[in-house]
Amino acid sequence: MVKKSALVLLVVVALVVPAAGRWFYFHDGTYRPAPVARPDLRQIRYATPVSAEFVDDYTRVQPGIVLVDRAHDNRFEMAELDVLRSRLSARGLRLEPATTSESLLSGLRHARALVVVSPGSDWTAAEIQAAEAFVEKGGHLLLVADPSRFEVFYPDDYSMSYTLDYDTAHLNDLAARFGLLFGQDYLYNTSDNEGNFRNIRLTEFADHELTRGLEQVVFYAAHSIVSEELLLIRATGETRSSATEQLKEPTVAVLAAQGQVLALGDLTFMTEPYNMAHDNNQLVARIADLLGQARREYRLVDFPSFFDGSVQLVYAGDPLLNDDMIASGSKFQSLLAAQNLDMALVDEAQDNQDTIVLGLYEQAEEIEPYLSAAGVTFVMTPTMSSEAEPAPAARATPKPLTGTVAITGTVAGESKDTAEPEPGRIEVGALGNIAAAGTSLLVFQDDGERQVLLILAYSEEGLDWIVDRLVDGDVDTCLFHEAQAEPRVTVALCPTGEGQADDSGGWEKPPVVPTTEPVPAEEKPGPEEKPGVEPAGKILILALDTGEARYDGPSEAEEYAALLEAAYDVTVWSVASDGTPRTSDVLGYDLIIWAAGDFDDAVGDDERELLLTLMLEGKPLVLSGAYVSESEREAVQRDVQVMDTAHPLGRGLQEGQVIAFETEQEYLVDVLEEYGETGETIVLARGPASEATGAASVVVVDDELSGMRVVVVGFPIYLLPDESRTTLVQNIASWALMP
Amino acid sequence: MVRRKGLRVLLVVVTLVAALGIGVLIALYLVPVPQIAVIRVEGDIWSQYTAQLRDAMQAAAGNRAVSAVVLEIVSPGGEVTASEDLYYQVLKLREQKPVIASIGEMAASGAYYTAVAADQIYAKPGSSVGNVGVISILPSPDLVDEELMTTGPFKLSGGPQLTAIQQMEMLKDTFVMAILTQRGDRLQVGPEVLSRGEIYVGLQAWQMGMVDEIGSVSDAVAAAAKMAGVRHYRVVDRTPAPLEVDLWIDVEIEERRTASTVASPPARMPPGFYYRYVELPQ
Repeated sequence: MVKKSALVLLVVVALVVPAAGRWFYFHDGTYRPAPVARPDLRQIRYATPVSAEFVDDYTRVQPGIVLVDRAHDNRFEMAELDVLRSRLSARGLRLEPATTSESLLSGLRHARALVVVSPGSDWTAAEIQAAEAFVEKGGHLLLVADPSRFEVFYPDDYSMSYTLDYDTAHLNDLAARFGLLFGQDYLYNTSDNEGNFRNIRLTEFADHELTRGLEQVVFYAAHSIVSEELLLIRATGETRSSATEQLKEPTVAVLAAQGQVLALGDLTFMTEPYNMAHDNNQLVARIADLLGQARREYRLVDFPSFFDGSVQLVYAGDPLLNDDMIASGSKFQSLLAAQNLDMALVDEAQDNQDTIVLGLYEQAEEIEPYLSAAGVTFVMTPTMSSEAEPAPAARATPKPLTGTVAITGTVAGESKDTAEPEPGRIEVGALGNIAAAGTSLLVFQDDGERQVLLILAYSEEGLDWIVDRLVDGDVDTCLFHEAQAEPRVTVALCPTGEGQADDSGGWEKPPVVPTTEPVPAEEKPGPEEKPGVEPAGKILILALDTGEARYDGPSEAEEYAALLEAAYDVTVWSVASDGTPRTSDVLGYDLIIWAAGDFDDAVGDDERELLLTLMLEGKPLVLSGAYVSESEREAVQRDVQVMDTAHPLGRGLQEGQVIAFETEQEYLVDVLEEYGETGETIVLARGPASEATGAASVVVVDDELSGMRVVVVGFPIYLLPDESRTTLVQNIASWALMP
Repeated sequence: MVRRKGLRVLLVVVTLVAALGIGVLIALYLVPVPQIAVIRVEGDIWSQYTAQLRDAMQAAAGNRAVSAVVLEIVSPGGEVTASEDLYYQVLKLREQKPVIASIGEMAASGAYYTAVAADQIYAKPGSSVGNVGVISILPSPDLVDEELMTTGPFKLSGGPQLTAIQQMEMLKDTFVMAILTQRGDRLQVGPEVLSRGEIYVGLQAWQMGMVDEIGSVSDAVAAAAKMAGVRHYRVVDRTPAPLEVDLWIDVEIEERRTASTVASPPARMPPGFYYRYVELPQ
C-alpha cells in the first residue's frame, strides 16, 4: 500500500517537476497587477460662454464717413467689420473702403474717421503724413492689429523654410507717429481664460468714457501695445506675452493723441460671434461713439467736406447764366450729392446756410456783400490805368492778410469804350501782387457754424478750370494762405493758364508778413520766384557723391544745376553731406535728377529703395552717371552717336552725329545692355570709337501704363562738349516736365 | 519471484518515465517560453489604425505566453477618440499584464496620451515628448438655405464657434486629467505647465516626471520582463501590419502658402478635434 502510494507520488512528481522546473527556469516571480486608476471625468466641467446683455444706447451724430484702409493688402474682410458697421450706421456714419493709395489720400479729405486694420504692406511716408495731418485736423483714427493676421512667405517654391510677416511690421510706422508700438507677440493665459489660453479676459480698465461701466471684455489673441499714452485696457493676473513669457500686465488698448487715436491689439473681439462675449458688444459701441465724435477741422483743400446739410449756390451779381456757369453749378451739385449734401440755386444767400458763390472778377463789386458776409473786404479800385504796375499805394501798404482781399482792375463794361482794357491786378496781402488775367481766387470762410466759399476767376474759362480742379480735389497749383483771424479765412490764388498777362504779369515778390502759424504741408508756398520769370518746374538734383570718385572729375550735380537753374527752380541735395533724402523730402519736386558722375557704388540700398518708390509714384527721374545701371559689364566709352532725333530728347541734334567726349581719361562706364524693349527709346548710343559700340548710352523709358518716365544717361554728363551737353540737358528737362 | 519483481520495477520505471514525459508535455503546454510582446505605435493615431492596435493588444492579453507588452511609440498623435481608445485599451491590458511604453523619436499629444496609460514610460534623451492639448478647426456658421433643410440651428455645423472653443478646452482638461491620474506623484509639474502644449526633449520630460526612465527599447523590454517576473524570455513583435494610408503627409507644398494651411491639419482630415502635433516646416 505504501509502495503504491509512493509510486503515485512519484508519478505526480514526474508529471509536475518538468512544469515546475520550467516555470522556475523562466520566472523569478509573479506579476500582481496594481489597481489601475481611471480618471474621474466628473470633475471636468463645460464652461458655458457668457454673454452680457447689450443695449446700444447711441446718439445720432452728423452724417459722415469712416474711411477704411484697404490700400495696404490689409488682412481682413470687410464683413469682419459688420458689427462695427452696424453700430456706426445707427449713429449716422458710413464705412467707406479706400482700396488705393489715391483713394485713401483723397478720402481723408472728407472722412471723419479712419480705420486701419492689419496692413500687409507698408504705409508710404506721404500716406503717414496725410494720416497725421488728418488727426491734426480733428479726424479720429482707429488702429487695429491682430496676431492671427500674419502671412507666411517662402523664399522659393520648393523651400520648406519660411518667414512670418506680421501685420505689426506694417502698422508700426504709422502707429509710432502717435506714440504707439504694437508688439510682435500674442497674449495668453493658461490658468484663467475664456475657453482657450489665448482668449484673455480683461477686467482692468482706465477711467475713460470708452470703458466706463465695462466689467469684462474678452480679446481673442491680442498683440500687446507699448505706449506712454492712456493705457485703456490692460491684462492682469497670469496673462503673459508670447515674446517675453513674463508677467508684465500688458496693454491691449491705448488711447493716444488727446483721445483721437485708438489702438487695439485684437480685431476678433468685434467680429461675430465673439462680439457676444461679456461686454465686447458694449466696447464696440463705444468705439463707434468715438469714431462718430470726431470734430473735423476742414480746410479749403477738403472741399466739399466742410459743408453740412444743405448748400446754397449763388451766382455773383445778376448773372446771365451761360452754359459754362450752369455746367459748373451742375458739377458741384453732383459732387455734393455724392456726399449726401443738397445744393440749391438761390438768388440771395441766407445767412444761416453754407454757401458757394461763383463769379468773375468783373462781378467783384457786386459780390462784395457776400464777401462782407464772410468777413472779407473786397475793395474795388477801377483804375482803368494802362500802367502795368499796380497802384503805388497798394504796393506801399499791402494789406495784412486778415481776411482782406484787394483787387485792383478793370470792371467789365466800364472799359468797353477804351482802346484796350487792362487786365488789372490782384493783391492779396502776404501773397503779393499778380496780374488778374489767368488766375482764379478762392476765399473760404469757416466760422464754425457756417461755411462760405467764394470762387472767382478772371474769365469763364478760368472759372470752369478752377471748378474742375476743386471737383477733382486738385488744387496743388494754388498758392494758399490761411489768415490768423476769426472767423478762419483761407485765401488761394490759382493760375488758370488762360489769358496770361503781359510782361508785367506774373508774381511779384510778396511782402514779408510775420506769421507764427505753421503752414500745412499742402499749403506750403512755392519757391521764391524771380521777378517776371516763372520757373517752369521744380527740379531736385540729388548728388550721389558718397562713393569714391575715380577721376576726381567735376561734380555732375553742379553741371546739371548750372545748365538748368536759369529756367527752373533747382535745388541740389548732396547725399554725402545731407544723407539720403526721405520720400517726403523729394515728392514736392517735379523732376529728380540722380547725378552720380563717376562715383562708384553711388546707389546704395537706401537710394535704391527711394528710387523704386519714386518710380512707383510716377515721378519723372533722370539717372545719370558712369555706374547707375544694374549692368555688370563695363567698357571704355569715348563718344556717343545720335540714334533718334524724333524723340524730344534728340531735338537739336543730328541723326547719326558722333559726339566725342571731352576728356583725356579712358572712361570705363557701364554698358547699358538691358535696354531696347518696348517703351524704351535709345536716343544716344555708344559711338564708333567706344568699346561696345552701338550699345545704349542715353535711354528714355516712357511707360504710359504705369506712368513711369525715366531717362538714363549712362555716362557723366560733363563728358559731352558744352553745346551738346546744354542741348541734351535742356531737352531732358523739357521732356520730363512735359504734362 | 525475481522475474515478477523485475517486471514490477520495469513497470514503475516505465510509468515514471511516461509520467515524466507527460509532465514535460504538460510543462511545455502550461509553461510556455515567456514572451515580451513589442507593439509599435507608429505614425498617426486614427480610428482604423487604433482598431488594429486594439486587436494586437487583446491578442497579447489573451496569450499566456505573453508576459508583458512594450509599446514602442513613434507618433505625433492623431484623432481624439482614437487616442482615447488606445489610452483605455492600455489601461485594460495593464490589469492583466505589465505594459511599458518606450518612446522613440516622438510621442506627442495623442501618442503621449497613450503612453501615460502604461505602467512605466521610457524615453531617449532626445525624444520629443509632450505637446499636451487639442487642435481644431472651428465650425463655420450654419447656412440657412431654402433647399437644404435642417431640423436644428446647428445641424450643419454641430454648434457655434464659442461652444466649440469651450469643448476643446474641455477635451484638453480631460487629457490633462488623464496624465495626472496615471502619473500621480511621479509628475513634477502641474496642469498649467502641461497645458502649455510644449514639446520637451526626453531628458527634460524625465526631469519633469513625464517619463520614468531614460533608456532604449531593450531597457524597456528588460523592465517589462522584470515587472512581469520573467527571467528568460523571448521578444516577439506583435505589431499589426501597417496601413498604407497616412493622412498627414498629403499636403502639397504649394498649398502651404497661408497660415491656415501650414498650421492646420491637411485638407483630407475631416473637421473635428485632434490630439495632434502639427509640425511646422522649418
